[in-house]
Amino acid sequence: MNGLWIPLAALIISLATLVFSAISLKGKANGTAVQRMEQRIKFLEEHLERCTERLEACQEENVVLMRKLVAATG
Amino acid sequence: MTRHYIIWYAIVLHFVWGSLLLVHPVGLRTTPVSAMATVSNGSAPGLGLILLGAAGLALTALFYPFPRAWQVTVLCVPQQFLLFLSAGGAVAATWAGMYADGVPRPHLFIFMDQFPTMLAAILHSLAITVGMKSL
Repeated sequence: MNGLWIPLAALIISLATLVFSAISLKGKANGTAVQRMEQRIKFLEEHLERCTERLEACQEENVVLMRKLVAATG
Repeated sequence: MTRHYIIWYAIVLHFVWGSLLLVHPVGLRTTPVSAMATVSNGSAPGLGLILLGAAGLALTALFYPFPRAWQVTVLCVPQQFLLFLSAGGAVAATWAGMYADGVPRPHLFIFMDQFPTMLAAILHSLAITVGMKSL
């Protein structure tokens, strides 16, 4: 009654499971890599913002110091 | 965690079937087991060892802390293969209207009787693919 189609079908399903798992895991790994990259970009953007603010503060301080230097040297 | 139960079910099932086949070959003609006999070339002790081996691999997958999810899947695939052999035997018996030992019954009768075998194979596949990350 049980021909060769049963083992063949079971084998195909098992192989399909392995392929599906491999594709699923690869997709998950890619997803994780993308998430890590997005977090890195966000961190760099925030860092750049902080650096810009600090640079502006330094420039203002520099102007004040230059004025003091000019006043002192007459 | 609930996704483990179907794997435990298959482990216990194959362990019991495997042990009984090592003791006596009478169970070889039951519908879910007869389809599996093709992998052991009709040998009852051979199939018993294969069933115990598959159960052992799945047990290892549950208890050993594998770092990769695919390793768990690979260890559960032999068990899944055997479950689908059983399910195939159940479908064939339903289709033919006859159990593997030759007892004729209405198609629906056999389907209702053998449905748990088919369901187990499907749920097991879902557990080792979709539910794999929780293993």
